[in-house]
Amino acid sequence: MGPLIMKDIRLITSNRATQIFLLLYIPFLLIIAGLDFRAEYMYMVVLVSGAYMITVLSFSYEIGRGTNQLLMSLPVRKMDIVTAKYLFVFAAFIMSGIYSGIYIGLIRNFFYNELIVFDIAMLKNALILTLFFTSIVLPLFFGLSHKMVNFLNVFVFVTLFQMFGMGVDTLAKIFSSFIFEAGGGAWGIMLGTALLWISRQLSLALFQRRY
Amino acid sequence: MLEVRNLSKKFKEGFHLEDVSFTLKPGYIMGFIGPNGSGKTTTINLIMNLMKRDEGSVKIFGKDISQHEREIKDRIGFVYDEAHFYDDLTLEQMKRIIAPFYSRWDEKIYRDYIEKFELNEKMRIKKLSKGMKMKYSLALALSHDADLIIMDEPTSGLDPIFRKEILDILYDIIQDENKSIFFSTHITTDLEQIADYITFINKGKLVFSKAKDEIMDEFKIVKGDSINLTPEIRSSFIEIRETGYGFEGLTRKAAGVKEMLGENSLVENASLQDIMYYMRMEG
Repeated sequence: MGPLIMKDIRLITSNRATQIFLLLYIPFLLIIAGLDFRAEYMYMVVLVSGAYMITVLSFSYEIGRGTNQLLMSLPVRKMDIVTAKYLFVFAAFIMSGIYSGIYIGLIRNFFYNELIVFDIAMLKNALILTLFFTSIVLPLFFGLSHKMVNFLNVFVFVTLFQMFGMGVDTLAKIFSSFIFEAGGGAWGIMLGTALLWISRQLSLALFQRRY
Repeated sequence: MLEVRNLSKKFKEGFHLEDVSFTLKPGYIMGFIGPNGSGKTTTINLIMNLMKRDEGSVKIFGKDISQHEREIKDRIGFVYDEAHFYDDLTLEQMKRIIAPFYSRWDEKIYRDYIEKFELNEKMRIKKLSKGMKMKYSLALALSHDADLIIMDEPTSGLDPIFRKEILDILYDIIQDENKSIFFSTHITTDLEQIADYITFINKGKLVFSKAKDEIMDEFKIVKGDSINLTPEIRSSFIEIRETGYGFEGLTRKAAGVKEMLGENSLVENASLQDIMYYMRMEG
């Protein structure tokens, strides 16, 4: 499983186009979301979107260029290919957290003389949202054609953005009682993880049907 | 080493791979030939378990590929017709991705091949020519002490010098009698140089799978004047091509045809290309 996750990390960190994208996506995202670097939940927006995009980018790259065929020829079980994609979500979340934390932290420090205050509850909520959205999108990659999945991916991403567009208060109203706050957020993470597991089972079934 | 039994796969588009069976023993090279669209790549994909088969079985090293996929693929060196590499990566980065998957990866062998093929590891894969990509693909496939090398059209689109180099490498590999090579091609002259066995498919069906020498003995080209072609003689041919200057046909019954035509005929050895051409016409 390790080499599969490492492969995705290498794909993200070695590809020049992805590097440029990662460099520019944070300001671009904030412009679209109508936020600035001082906005209260801006870090959460960037963190969730970043984790989502990192997960999706390496997958999309593979399907688009047919490199998943190479992967299939390697000594690896189909079950491991699928499971590794799901474990990579957590790696993507950590990568996005560190990267966007440093990026935003530097900007706030230099331009506003302010630091990001790390809020554990926010990180927890960001993880829950990441698990929810990646659970929706990953089975599409395993089961549908490249064109179709790209279309639906945009749809899921726009929905994610619409949610952020509602503002943090509305978002909190929708999620707080039954996901974000119940059991101190533990229920939310458990629910997100369960959804991810169900999604993985669905992806495995789709992948095995396809190959 | 490789045992394919009654392999079948039906596609929605209409193509049907039907009941393909053959066996490759350790220490031999098998050439897999057939015209474009005959089912070579489909068969290889099914052997590698890259797509689901409808019927039949594929056993490699005595084990079913679908049940022992990881264990079997660890001992296979696989070369695609098109290199499905991550184009934006350098050769070094690509190797770092591939190598950890193989339990018997040998860095020294890999370095030797990189040097032998004069590849620059700092280069991005998208900058490599088709020939260089194929060499790189071979270097990766040969660096984990694979017992079976499977290649899909490795020499297609390469110039004769590259092709000769690749054939020489394959010939070196086969000096180890425990290793085997299975490779598809439509460049039959490559096979005439190195293959021990030939498996020929046409329109999704197996035509034959035999020792090359046996095939060369079995099939002959007969040339002569069309005026001498009686219905009886015609029936002795697999297929005949007639022109204004006479006829040329492929037959399994060269001695009988020669006897019937007498001095008015010329019998020649059939090349694999001839066999493929006439058998295709027959199909």
